[in-house]
Amino acid sequence: MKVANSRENMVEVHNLTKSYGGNAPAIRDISLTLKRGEFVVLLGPSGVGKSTLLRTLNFLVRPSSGTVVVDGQDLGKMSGGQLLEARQRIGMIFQEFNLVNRMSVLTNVLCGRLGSLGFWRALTYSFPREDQERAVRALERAGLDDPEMYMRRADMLSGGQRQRVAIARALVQEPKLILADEPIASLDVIMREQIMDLMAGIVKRDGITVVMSLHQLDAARKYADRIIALSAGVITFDGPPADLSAEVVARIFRKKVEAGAADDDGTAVKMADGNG
Amino acid sequence: MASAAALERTLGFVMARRQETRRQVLVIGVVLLGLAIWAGRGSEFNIQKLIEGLPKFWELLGRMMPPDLPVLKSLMKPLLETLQMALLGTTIPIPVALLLACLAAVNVSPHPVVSAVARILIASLRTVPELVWAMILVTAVGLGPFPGVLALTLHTLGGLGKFYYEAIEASSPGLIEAMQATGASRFKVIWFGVLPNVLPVMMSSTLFYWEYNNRASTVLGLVGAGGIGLALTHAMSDFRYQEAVTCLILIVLILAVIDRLSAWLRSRII
Repeated sequence: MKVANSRENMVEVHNLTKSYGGNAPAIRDISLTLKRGEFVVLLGPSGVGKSTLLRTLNFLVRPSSGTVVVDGQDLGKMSGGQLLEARQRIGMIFQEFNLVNRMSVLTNVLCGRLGSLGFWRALTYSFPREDQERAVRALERAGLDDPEMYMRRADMLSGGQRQRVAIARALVQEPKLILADEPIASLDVIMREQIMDLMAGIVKRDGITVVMSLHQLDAARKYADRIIALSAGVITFDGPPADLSAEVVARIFRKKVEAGAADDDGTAVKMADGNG
Repeated sequence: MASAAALERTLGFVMARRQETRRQVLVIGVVLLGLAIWAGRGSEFNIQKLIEGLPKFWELLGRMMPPDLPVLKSLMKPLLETLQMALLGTTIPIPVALLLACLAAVNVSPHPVVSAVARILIASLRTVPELVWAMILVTAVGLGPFPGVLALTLHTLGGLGKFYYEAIEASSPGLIEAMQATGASRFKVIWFGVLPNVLPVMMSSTLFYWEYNNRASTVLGLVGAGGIGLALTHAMSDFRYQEAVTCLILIVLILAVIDRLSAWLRSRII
C-alpha cells in the first residue's frame, strides 16, 4: 500500500521515536510525509529534536522505534551494504561544514563519490576521470567557478566558500534528497542569503528535495515551501509559511522566551533569529 | 564604607585560600621527602660507597684512554646493523599499529569488545620493555639482529598503537558523520575523514619512536641481539676498555646525528 504513495513521496516517516540512554526522547512518535521537490524547513530553537529528526532520515541516528522510508525504501529493513547505497542518494550538509581541512577543495568534493569508489582506488586516493568531471561540475553549480581555488586546502577558504564546497560534496553524490543541518548558523548575514538562494535554486532547478533545520524565522519564511515546527520532540506546526501566524511563532519559540527571560515574544524571536 | 567592608571580606577570603594552599604544599613536601627516604633505604643508597668507588672509576677511565681508533673500521658493520634494526623495528609496526588503532579507537571501532581487546593487546605489547622481548626472542629464534628487530617491532607496536588511536579519537566527529553521509564504508570513512587530519600527529609520533628505537637498539646487544651493543658488551667482558670507549663515542655521535635528522624531518613534515 505504501509503494503506490512512494512514487510521489520522497520521505515517509511513521511513529518515529528516538531516545538517547535513559533520557526523555529527543523526538517522540513523529509521523510525516514529504513530497518530491519540496523545500522543507524544520523550525525551532535548539534542543527540540531537529538535528535528531534530520539524522534519522539517513540513519546516521538509528531510531528507537518507528520506520523511515526514503524514496520508497525502508531504511530499517536494509542490510549494512544496502544502507550505504541508500545514503549515496541522500546528501548532507552541516553547520560546521565538516570538510577535511588538510585536503584540497577538489578532494573534499570527490569524497561525495566515496560510496561508489572501489577499494584500491580509495586506498590510493585515486578517483576516476568521470568523478573528477562530476566534482568540477558540482563546484561550478555551487558557485565556485575559479579553478585556481580547487587545489587549495579547504581551510584556506572563507566560511561561505567552505559551505559551498560542502554543498558541492553533497551534489556530487547526485542525490534525490539533501539534508541540511543548520547550514547558515555559522555564516554572516550576507553569506546566509547567498547560501539560502543557492539551496532554493537546488530545489527549483535541480528538483532535489531539501530538508533543512533552521532556527532563523526570517529565512524559513522567505525560502520554505513548507515549515514543520518542533517543540520538545513533537510537531507543533506543519504548513506553508503563509499560515505561520504571530501566535504560532510565539508558541514555537515560547521555550526560548522562558529560558532567555525576554520581555515579550518579539524579542525572543529576534534573539532566535540573530543567534549564530 | 560598604566598599571598605567588601574589600575586607575579599581580602579575608583570599588570605584564607592562600593559607590553605600553603598547607597543602607543605603536606605534599613532607610526603615526597618520606617517600624518598623510604626508597633510599630500599635501594641501599650510600654516598660513602660512591665516594670510595670514585678512584676505581678514574682508574677504569684511564685504562680506556686513548680510544682504540683502528678498531673503528670493524665497528662499522655492527653500527650499521644497529641502525638497520631501528629502521625495520619502526617501519614494520606502522601499518600494523594503524590497523590495531582503528580497531581500538572507540569512535571508529566496529564493536566495543573489539576496541577493548585491541587496547589490551596494545597495552601489553607496550608494557613489556624491548629488552625483555629481546631476551625471550633470542631464546626463540637465536642470537643476532633478527630477534632485536622483532623485539623493537613488538614494543613499538604497543607505543605507536596508543599514539595512533589517541589521535584518531581526538579527530572531529563531524567529519566522520560527513563521510558516513556520503555512503562511505567504515574503511573509507577512516581513510578520508580521519587519516588526513591525524597524519601530522602520526608522523610525529612515528619519528619519536624511530629516535627511541635507535637508542634502544644499541642496548639490545647486551642480551645478544646484535649490533653495536653486542660489540660493546664483548669488549667490556674481554677487558678491552679502549675498544669499549670507541664504541661508546660512536654511539653518542650517531645518536646525536639521528636526533638532528629527526628534528629536521619533523620540521619539514609538520
